Amino acid sequence: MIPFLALFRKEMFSLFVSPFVYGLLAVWFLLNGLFFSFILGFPAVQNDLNLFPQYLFGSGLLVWLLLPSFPPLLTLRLFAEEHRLGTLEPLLSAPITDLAVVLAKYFASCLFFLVFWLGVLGLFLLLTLHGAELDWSRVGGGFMGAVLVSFLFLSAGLWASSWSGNFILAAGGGAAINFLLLFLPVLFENAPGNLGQISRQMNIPNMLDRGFAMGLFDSYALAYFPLLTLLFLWLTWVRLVSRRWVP
Amino acid sequence: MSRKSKLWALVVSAGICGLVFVILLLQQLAKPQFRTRWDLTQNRQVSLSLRSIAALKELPKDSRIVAFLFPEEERLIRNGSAVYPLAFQRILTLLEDARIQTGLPTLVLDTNSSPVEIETVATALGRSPGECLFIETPSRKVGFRFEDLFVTQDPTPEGAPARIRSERVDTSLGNAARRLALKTAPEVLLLHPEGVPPSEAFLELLRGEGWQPRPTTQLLALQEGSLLVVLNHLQPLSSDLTEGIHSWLDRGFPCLITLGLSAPMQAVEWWNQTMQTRGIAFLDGMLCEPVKTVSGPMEGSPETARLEILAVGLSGQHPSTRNLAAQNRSTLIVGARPLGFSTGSNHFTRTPLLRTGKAAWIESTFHPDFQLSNGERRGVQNVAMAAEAFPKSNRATGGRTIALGTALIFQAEHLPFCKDFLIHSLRWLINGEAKDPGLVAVEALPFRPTRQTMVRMTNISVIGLPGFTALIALLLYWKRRR
Repeated sequence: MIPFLALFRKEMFSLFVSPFVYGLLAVWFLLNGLFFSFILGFPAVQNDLNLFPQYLFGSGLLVWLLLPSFPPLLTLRLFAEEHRLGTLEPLLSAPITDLAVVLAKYFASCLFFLVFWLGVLGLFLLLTLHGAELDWSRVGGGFMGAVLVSFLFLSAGLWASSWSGNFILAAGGGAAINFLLLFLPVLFENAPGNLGQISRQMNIPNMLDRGFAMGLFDSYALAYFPLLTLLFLWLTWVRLVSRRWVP
Repeated sequence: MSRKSKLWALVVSAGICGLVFVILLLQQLAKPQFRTRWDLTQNRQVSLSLRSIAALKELPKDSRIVAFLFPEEERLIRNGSAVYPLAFQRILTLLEDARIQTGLPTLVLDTNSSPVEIETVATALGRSPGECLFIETPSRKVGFRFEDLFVTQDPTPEGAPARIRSERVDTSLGNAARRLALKTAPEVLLLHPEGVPPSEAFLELLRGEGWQPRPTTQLLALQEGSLLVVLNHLQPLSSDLTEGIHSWLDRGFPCLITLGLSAPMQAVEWWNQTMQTRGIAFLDGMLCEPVKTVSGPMEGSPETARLEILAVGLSGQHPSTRNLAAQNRSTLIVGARPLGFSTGSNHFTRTPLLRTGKAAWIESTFHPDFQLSNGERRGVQNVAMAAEAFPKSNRATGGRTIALGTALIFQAEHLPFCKDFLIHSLRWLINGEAKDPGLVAVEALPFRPTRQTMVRMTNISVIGLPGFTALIALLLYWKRRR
């Protein structure tokens, strides 16, 4: 546990003092601020703020564009830099399990990504301060869904980061996986048979749009994101330990 | 094989195995028995009620729900109204709930769907404009118009947009599913004594409500059914038929009686006698109203016999017309005879459902000149009236009766213009949803920021927060460089 906490602290520190990460955060806030102002300008939203969480978290550009792209940018350094600097071998031979290494890096990135979301939550508080009445069950649900999706995308980014020391491959690979997770089910949801059925069940925007952003928590969606997250974390672990399995 | 390739092969195989395992696990978790939903909204706004879920589960195999989500009414879009987005959001969520909880297939057609698919499905369902939701079983179907599901408030000339006041999607789905789940659909007897069968359009309208229309020329003395519709008649009725009708009305079964201008004097007298206890009488003459033209009201043309009953002419109190009046919907009635009150029994209440405007008059049918002549007077006239037992008897549906002074509304060319009134009347007669509207109030959260507020919020969200973060990034960068 102690080595895990030490590594977690180290990762958190490296994220919190990285100018690149803050630059990323600034761009995230800027784009979200633009979307926020843009959506708030919709007459339909001004007529009923119940639509706001759905437009922002459910069917907006935040989900289709920002969410798949930003998590891999945050995680790209986590393993790729260790690869590049040649510090991965010493880390894996240190008295800490491979799983702890994966989890420490993942949780550090998750915790930092919450800062990304706190900024967006601040925009809703800003709205309340200006006299808007919000249905917090929908806002909270939308946040919950968005956080779960971003944790999933972070795990995919972490896996991509473990492939090699190439930053472009780490970021591009992670983003590609995330976009596939997002678009493939949408593309095939009308396909006949099992493919269509599986695609409908894996449709992330639908889970956000018709679920979380409506203040509705579904046991399936609550299981879907952690399960896929676990899959990518397991794959990251496999990627690390396989170095020992294959001579 | 190189080490790198082996490593990649291992990771890819593990990935595929893991993905297959996760998909299989998710397939299991998606089954209704493992599914739980927590609705955090007030009054469980985004979930189907247990009653509706149970009703939908009862539907026969191969049933499905089809939604046509198109903004069709201009008044509900004007001034940036949120009516359609919210309504569609509600429908989609409930359909998703229905699919998850009951395994019922749902098909959603919206502006992104293929036009060919929309056309095919709409034709197969016999959809008419305004219908947005269908429950279809292999043999029957029920369709809902947008205004059946949502009660809206119209936009104002001052610029306020339309908004949803209340809705009843859940109740409507549940009621329709219960009707469709019945092994025998409510039977509507269409009595046409002269052997002229009702139009296919009218039959389709009845089928669309999940009812079973049965055209007939006979009515037995103890015959039973859910509703009797009398489609005019041109000759005096036979004794068997009069006995059958008397028996039907005496037993308190619901009845819609339409008697047009072509009905003979004896038939009118017979019906007035039969309906005496209900206090409704068919009067002589033809209802006419000045035609509105650019140069002002015009008389002297047969067009005056086309009556446009505006929303103010609909009874705002009666269950069958209340919703239509609230929706500001008008009805077009052609070639109608007037109705009036007669000395009825105190056991029945009587309500005029449709009334003309003040400028209408009763035109003599002997030598119609379609303008106000000697002896004719202007005034509000009754076109349709309803009666119901009061206090409610223990009979079938309390002797609900609607009398209408025209039979032309059943014809395919006139039906579209009075379909709403007809369907709401029939629903009330058959003791359908009009009795239990199940309306749930929908609260809107309007927020209309001033220009100054918008600028301030935009400045904070687009410049303030990102700028502050960028400043931290620059400081960190500068410190590292040092």
